Amino acid sequence: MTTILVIEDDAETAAEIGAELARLGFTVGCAADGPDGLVQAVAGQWDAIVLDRMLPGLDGLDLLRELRCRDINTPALVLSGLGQVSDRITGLRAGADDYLVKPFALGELSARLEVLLRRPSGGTRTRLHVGSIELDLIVRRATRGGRTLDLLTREFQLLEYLMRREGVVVTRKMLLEDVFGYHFEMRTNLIDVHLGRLRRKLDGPGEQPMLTTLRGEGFVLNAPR
Amino acid sequence: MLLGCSLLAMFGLMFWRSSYLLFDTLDRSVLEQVELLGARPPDMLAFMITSRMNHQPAVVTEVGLFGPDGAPIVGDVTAVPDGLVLTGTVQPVLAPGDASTHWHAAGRRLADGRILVVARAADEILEVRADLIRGAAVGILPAILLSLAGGALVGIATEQRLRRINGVAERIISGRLDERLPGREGGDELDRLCMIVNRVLERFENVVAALQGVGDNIAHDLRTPLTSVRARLERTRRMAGPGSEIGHAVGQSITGIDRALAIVNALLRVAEIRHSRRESAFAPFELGVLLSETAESFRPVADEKEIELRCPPVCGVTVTGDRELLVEAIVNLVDNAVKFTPQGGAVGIYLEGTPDKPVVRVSDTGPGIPPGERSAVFRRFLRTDASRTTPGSGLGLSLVAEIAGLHSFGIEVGDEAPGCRFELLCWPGSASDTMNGSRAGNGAIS
Repeated sequence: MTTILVIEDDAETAAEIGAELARLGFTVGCAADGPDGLVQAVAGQWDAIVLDRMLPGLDGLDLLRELRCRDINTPALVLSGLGQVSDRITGLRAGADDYLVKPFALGELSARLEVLLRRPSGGTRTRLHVGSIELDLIVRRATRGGRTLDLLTREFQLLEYLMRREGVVVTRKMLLEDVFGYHFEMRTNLIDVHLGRLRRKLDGPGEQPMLTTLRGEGFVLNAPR
Repeated sequence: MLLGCSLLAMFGLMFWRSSYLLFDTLDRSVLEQVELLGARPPDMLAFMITSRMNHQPAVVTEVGLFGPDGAPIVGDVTAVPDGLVLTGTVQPVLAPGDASTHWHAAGRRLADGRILVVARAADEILEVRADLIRGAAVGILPAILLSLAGGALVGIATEQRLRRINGVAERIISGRLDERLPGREGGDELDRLCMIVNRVLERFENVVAALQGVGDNIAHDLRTPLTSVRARLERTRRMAGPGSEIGHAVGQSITGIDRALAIVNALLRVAEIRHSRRESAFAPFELGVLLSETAESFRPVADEKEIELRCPPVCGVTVTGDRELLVEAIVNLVDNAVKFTPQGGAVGIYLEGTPDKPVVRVSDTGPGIPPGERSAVFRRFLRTDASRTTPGSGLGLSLVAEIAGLHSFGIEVGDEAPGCRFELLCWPGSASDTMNGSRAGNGAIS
């Protein structure tokens, strides 16, 4: 059973997040202010923490710093109304594993939590494998079942990102932020165009499709069963 | 200048008046003598002239008595001066036998035919006149020159002040409502005028801030309910299950809400950037890399529309700024260019200018922007008629202007014939440089 602590002072937001996470099968704990959040975060065994940046009693980032000082390294996702670059950087420096600017789609939050819970695989390895796809990060070569994939730089980066999160839904926003470095909303369907091309190169005729688009949610790379 | 003229006029008047007075006195004394001597009994005249010469050596007038034929009888005038008309009036003549001495003389023929001549040297007066001119040369001319130089200095100082005021005014026009004209309390008229304009600006800034605040607050207040409506719709769609009619309808509603949210978010983003006004995230980075990465991101989108995307690689050009925000600005420009360029067209991302004054030029072969609308494109929501059918909230360019403003970078729109050209001038202060160069400025007050 995966447990998640939600530290959020706005009752409505907290209820919505709680309902969504419960629907996805998580066990949810709630705290409505900073001090209570800290007590619960220290006392319980949580798999992940969702916390608002601005909390009554104790600032969200101070809470996070306190946790990290106590060597509690539970993955934490910070929610914030502040979207400035420097705000995000301070958030990540304080020990946040991800930073989501309000307002956000609930699907975005749960997708990011899934990613946090399944820490990206591969680490510092220079060769990644998913099914018959092999990615050599040193010589920047991608193959599927021995067939060389002729990928552009961005396509290669996208494939690497997806391979490290095999089986997990990756949202457009995550790809925009993490692969393209675009921390703003795009009106153009940039991601879909890139992934459309990647898919055409990846899933050749007669091969079992590995890259799936989930409408309204994102993309997922799976090894063929 | 004026002072110089009045000094000259004053000197002229003084010169004319003083020489007139001196000559007048001289002429009158000559006239008096002629009349006085002429009225003496003729037989006494020669004796009187002689005794006058003997006993009044200090007398400055010279007298001569001549026979009807002009032969000298008595007196210190040795001959009737050439050209002297014997009418009893004073005339300027040269002394007989001495062309260097100027006389004012009068002569008349007496009843017995003899000729009486009275003369007085005018050289002293001429000398005084020359002295006056010399005095003017050493006194008044330097004064005039000094006054001219002083005037020029005051003029230069005033011009510099005006130029400073002009510069600030241009920055204010370009949207920097927090700028103030240079002026001090208790100064001259110009200072007082500046202070008045500053007070007007202060009022204006407050009003604009209040207006912006209203817009931003509306956007902010809309965001929360829109977000929670979206969350509920999402849950409803999920409950309806995939493929159901309700699910489809709800999905369309979510798309609509997303569009509204995108506008609200873009508005808030503009406000956020405007209020950040801080340089903590400024760092140097390679501009060429940013451009080629942007080109890589947009190449497939351009390919799909059969648009040729050009981005010649340039290395070694570094700018200092907030990289993420500048990425956002350039992505917006390229996004617009690709969006407005019809199938088969071309979009260019060029790094031009000099290494210390780099210019990013994004050009397209789209419909372009009419000259009259160019200064307005950076305002919120404006889209030219040709673009109204293309999706997008029209906030992109005001965002670009806001980001440029944060860096004090200039942004210009131009004609690419056909198409449109945007130039981001990537050095601080370029915004006002372009203003002075009277190029199309950034009119983003909103």
